[in-house]
Amino acid sequence: MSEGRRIRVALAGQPNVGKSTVFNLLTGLSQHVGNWPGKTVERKEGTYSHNGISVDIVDLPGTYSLTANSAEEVIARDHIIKERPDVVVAVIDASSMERNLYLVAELLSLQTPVIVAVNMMDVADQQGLKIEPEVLQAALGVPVVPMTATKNQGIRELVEAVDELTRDGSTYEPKRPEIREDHRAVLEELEHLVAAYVPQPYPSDWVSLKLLEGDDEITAMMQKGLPEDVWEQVHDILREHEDAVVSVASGRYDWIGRMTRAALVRPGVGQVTLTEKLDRWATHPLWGLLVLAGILGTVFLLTYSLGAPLQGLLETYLVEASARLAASALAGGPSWLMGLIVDGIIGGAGTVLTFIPILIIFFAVMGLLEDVGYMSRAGYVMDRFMHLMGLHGKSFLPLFLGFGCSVPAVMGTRVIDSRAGRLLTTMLVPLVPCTARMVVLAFITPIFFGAAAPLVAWSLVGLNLLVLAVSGVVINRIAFGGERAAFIMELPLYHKPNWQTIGILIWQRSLAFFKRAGTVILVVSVVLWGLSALPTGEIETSYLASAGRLLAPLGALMGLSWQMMVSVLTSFVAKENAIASLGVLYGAGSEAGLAETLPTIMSPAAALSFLVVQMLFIPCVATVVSIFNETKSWRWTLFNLLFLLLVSFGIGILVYQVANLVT
Amino acid sequence: MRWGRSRRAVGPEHEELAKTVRKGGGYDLVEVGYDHGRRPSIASAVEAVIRGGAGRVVVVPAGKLNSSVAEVVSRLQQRHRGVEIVHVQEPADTTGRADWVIRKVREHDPDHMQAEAYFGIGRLSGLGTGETAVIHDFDAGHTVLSRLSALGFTPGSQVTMLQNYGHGPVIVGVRNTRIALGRCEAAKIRVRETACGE
Repeated sequence: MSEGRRIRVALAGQPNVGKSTVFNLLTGLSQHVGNWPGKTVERKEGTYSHNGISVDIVDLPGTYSLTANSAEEVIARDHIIKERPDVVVAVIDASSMERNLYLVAELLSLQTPVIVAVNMMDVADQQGLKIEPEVLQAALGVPVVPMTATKNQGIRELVEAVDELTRDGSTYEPKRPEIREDHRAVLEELEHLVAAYVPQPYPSDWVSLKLLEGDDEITAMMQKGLPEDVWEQVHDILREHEDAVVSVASGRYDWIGRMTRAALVRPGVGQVTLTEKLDRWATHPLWGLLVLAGILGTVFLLTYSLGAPLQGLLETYLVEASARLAASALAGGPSWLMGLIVDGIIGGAGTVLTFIPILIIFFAVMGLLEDVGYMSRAGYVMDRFMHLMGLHGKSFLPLFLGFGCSVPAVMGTRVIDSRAGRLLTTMLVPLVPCTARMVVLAFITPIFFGAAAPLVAWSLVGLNLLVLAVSGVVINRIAFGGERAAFIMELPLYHKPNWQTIGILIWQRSLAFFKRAGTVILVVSVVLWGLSALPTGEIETSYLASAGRLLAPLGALMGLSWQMMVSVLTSFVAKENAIASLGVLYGAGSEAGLAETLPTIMSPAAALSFLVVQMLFIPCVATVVSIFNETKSWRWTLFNLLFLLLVSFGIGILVYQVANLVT
Repeated sequence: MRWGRSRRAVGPEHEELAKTVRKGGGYDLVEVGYDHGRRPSIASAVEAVIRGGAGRVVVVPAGKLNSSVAEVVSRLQQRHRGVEIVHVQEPADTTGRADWVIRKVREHDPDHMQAEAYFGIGRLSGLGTGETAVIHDFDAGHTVLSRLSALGFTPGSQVTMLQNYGHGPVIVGVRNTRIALGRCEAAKIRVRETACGE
């Protein structure tokens, strides 16, 4: 009988167990990505419908446990405790069952019914591991469903198990883990003390356990909720048993040992897996770097051989063509309308859209490397160097992507585990010279420096990286107390990429970028165009020009005229605009014309400072929007802007004064 | 740093001490025990020496000790009446430690029978590639402790060093998974060599 029941499921699991593959299989494109309220962590939900059953699935962030060490863990447990889904499906990897069951142990101490989905059965099989799901089910007392999500096996059985459990929960009798003997009495004492004061909907036994484990969030919550004298007693107990967390964890692993003893049979020792063989190269101090360099080189190659030409095509056939179309269509109308549409909208937002091919390549590469399992090896190999800047090894790849475009670089900071690490890396991304900034560099250097142009260009790139390193150290010390998150990172087994997962990732990220282009970037381009056209329609007498003239004294310190200051300002929409604006402001008809005019109005020292400012200036609006999106903080976004303004002008002035003395 | 060949291996400073006591004093059965509830306990170390065939055991402090040691020794003596257990109740001389230990043993063991020294606890960061050890305890702050425990690093569990070049981060195998640890983090985990049957 189908009455269209809606079942609410929360999907939990440790990282690298194939949880997203399961989620994607169940929800397909019905899924929709947002953020957990007030947090910067991605939230995915979707629906699965079949035979009158509708399952609403929320994909919880992948976490190793449910202790308040990170925002992800708090989000995961809060969802289960407060939103009360009907079932929690815990996905585990058959080949690391022992470790994965730790999260299941934590989930079982909450009250929501759990179903264990043993995924990657094919990998376990390859390794010679024998798993008996029925035995595990009998031992755990909860439904166990074997699956191989990448081959689409087990999904149907999983949904049936969910359906069955929610219809009739009478046979659900989980065997929960118990704390080790040495701390049992203490736990009971704590439970007894706090039971009356535990706020709804938290279960009081779970809260006592978390208190004993030293969970920061729960401890703070109870400190507020308990009367003074009770808190004193609790606090004394906790202080005396500070390392009880080890005992609690050991207790869980004891339980896991009992559960897996019969259900899991390991082959003899001595099987060298493919992962081990690959890692001999991938994590080697020397070869690992070469492997990484090779991969990065390939990314660069792809970008320039595929991305750039595609971008060029879009430029010609989309942007310019529609500009011409619009121009002819509006030829009869008011000139401001034509200007708005052709220059403001198409010229501004349109140029940004041409970056899509490069973005897609980057999203694809990042998605592929993460899915295959290589990302953590890259982080491992680069950790030694990132360490010096107070960064995590995983910060390297997002920063590297910045050479192509800052937008996917900022989005790429999601792979970093700690918020502090993510913030710091995000702040530093704009200092990595993107291709757009390099375009300006490539145009200007030959004009002024002739044969020495490549040398000057590389030195400027080097300057950027130097500023990046120093800024990293400084910001880390000031904003984060110079601390670095502990380097503890799992190296998952390599496995074949799942193209559906990667495809969905590329689609979602590109869509997000499109939406942003359609909104904020469009608005900013129009506003900037407006400033350059009003009030007279001529850029030389516009508001933008007035702004430029206002900044002229500052510019003088750098040898830059007001026109150059304006051009720097216009680079806010897209970095390459700087050249176009110079062209317009100096009345040069074409780029070739500009190449001839520039040496007559700027000295080489001024050109140098102009370039320095360009390279270190605030990023384009697309990046600023991405930064805000990833950090969800006005403070940090503004800090980034101010910081870069100071750095770019400061160093620009320095370079000009020094260059002047020398030449 | 390499692990010794004896059944019970020794960690850096203790390795040195035990080696010196063995060589300088000419004693074979040199075992380490800790007081105040840490393992291996003094009792287990004494019993190991007794199992090794000792007729006399000299318990010498080589660091600051809790007063409960005297109790432990007297209880052990009651349990093992066939063996003479001597407790040197002087505070440890931390300067020329090995010499002092040997001197004390000689004072109390004039016939040169057995001696007591240290059981090795080392740091995970010192384990060589390919070697396996058992986690003993941790020397870490709360957050790191919590993360390590969740990942499977618990006292009594086995860890295998998969890659250690002496500098930079290491890769260890624990509970059938591969975990990369920074050098500092690996140094926060204390391990002991696996004994037979463990």
